[in-house]
Amino acid sequence: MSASVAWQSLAGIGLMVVIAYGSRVLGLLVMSYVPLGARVRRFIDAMSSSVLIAVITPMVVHGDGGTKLAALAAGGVAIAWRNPLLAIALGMASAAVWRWWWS
Amino acid sequence: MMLPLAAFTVAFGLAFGVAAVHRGLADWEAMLMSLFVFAAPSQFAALELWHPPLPLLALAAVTLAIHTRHMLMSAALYPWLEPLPRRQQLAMVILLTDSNWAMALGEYHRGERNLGILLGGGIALWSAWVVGTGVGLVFGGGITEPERFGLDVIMLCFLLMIVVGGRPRALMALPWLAAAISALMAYWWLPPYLHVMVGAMTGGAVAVMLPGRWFGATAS
Repeated sequence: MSASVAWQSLAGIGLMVVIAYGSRVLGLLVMSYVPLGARVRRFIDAMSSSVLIAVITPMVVHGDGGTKLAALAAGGVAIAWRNPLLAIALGMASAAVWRWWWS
Repeated sequence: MMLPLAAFTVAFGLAFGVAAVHRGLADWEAMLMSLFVFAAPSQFAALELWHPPLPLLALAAVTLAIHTRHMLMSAALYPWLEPLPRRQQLAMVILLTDSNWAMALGEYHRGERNLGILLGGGIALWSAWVVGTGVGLVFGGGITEPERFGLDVIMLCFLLMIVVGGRPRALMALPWLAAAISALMAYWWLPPYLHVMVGAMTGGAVAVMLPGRWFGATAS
């Protein structure tokens, strides 16, 4: 790995650290001056889950059959049983089985 | 209560370590992230963007969007932390994550006032996450065909689980649908990496435009 790439990674990670800790602190600081209104809360709440949806959707749409099946299985388990590890395990297993048969 | 959660977290850390190896991250990069960022969703999302040259702006925007959630969480803890001096308040939230926040807030509503549960839970989860990442990094490289074992879908399943595995909220269906469609269109027709921001903004905007009374219970 060349030096400039390493610096870039450090900058990226540093950026993530600042934002991650900053957001944890910012909530406290904001609350100590003004309580957040209901509309602002709703926007932030919806935005922070929508960002994950936006990451996932193209992965599923452009993924192979195994990926699509995995998403279906993991999503179904997560909704039905609320068991995170089981959701991930079944997702992986269904992708593996699909690819075993079809490729 | 803490122990099963910590066990899950070791497994997630392991999944992150394996995923990081297969995305081509150096061990130290993945480890630094787990040590200091300590936030599974943004770390997994960052893996998606991790091709040199790093799209730093997109990385910052995605991290910011994912972490605004933590802003709300620490805001919810404010009444509990209020009696502490400012410096201790700021120290208490360093290790704040989704799961220890949910657990600590539950205890608070049951009348618990000892902050040890927030701090101790954070430390336990952080250690579990770091250990898991380390194990994943060590053994992840030994697997040559990750797709055959479904290892490439860990990230997808994890993010999906975070989204739909939380509180059941049918009223998010519309914002999420809007987020998915707009993200997909942006993915096809806009420059790379913008789709995440587009989707996040659309989802937030749609939620604000829905009638306020739908949110009756949460609008406190």
